[in-house]
Amino acid sequence: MNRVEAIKDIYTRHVGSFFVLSNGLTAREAAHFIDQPNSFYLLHGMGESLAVAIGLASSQPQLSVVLIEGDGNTLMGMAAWSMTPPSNLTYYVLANGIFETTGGQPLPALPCLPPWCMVVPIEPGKAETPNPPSPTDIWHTSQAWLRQHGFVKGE
Amino acid sequence: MNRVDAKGRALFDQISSSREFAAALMKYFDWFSGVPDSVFKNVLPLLQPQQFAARENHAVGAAFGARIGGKNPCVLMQNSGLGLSLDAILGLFELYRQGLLLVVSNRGELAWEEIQHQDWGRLTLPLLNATNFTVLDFQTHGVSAIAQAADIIATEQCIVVLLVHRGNLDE
Repeated sequence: MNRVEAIKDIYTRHVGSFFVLSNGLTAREAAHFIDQPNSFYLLHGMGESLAVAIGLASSQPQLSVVLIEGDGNTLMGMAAWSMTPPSNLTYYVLANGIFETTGGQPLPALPCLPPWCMVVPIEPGKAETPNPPSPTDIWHTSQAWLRQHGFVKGE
Repeated sequence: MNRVDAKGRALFDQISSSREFAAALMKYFDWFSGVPDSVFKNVLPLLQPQQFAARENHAVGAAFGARIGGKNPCVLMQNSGLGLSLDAILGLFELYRQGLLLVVSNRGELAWEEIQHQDWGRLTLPLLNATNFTVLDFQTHGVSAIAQAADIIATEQCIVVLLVHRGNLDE
């Protein structure tokens, strides 16, 4: 299974949820090949995707939040595990064992992961993608979905 | 600066009680994170809802998640945490043009403070000036700085830093 297939499969399993995607190829390929408004694509914030997803889930307990991040991001953000995961957060790690976005440097092995973290092995490799959407577009599109579904207020 | 603590060490003037400070934060902000610091020892238990983190960068990350969820977040940290969290601040709040109140204790300004704080006492203000974040000084502006910060954030969706000095709050 490649990255796009894995992400599509996760979206199919969680219809109606809101998705947070880690920076790098995870967000980039999801934005291009899946392109769903119930998605927040992180363009930077290396290692922060779990913290972001925890903050979102804890601030909106009725919202089902799904985090999809690469295993490089997982290693960068392990101190965020100390924030007890809210029950409305589902956490997937796409594991190919390398920092693919930066050229395929090998990763140290993932340590013993918490039981609420689901590892999905994926093949190394990446798809050609255009530049991801702008931060403004990402913000407004995802906020519109959250507003439409009654989770945030405002214009 | 005429105040001294029980050990005779100089302190900045007390500007408000921790209770008054926390009440003002709770009035204008509705989600709190950070990493504990002794300057905020009496403030932190009064803030709700809170999601404190092991590291300041993750406190900022969680606050950004709360911002996506429609909250007005506030993050408290000591100045050394700026070094850990600057990339998260820039790569999340600054990149997506979202507002954040950072309450930062300026440790290491006073000659008696321990040596591990001194570099950050010297570097904090120059670093903040380099970022172009809006900086409000609690010593100068008092508790009204919190309302002022909330107003700036609401109108400009930017990062505001409230700098608190040792002694400004009861510890």
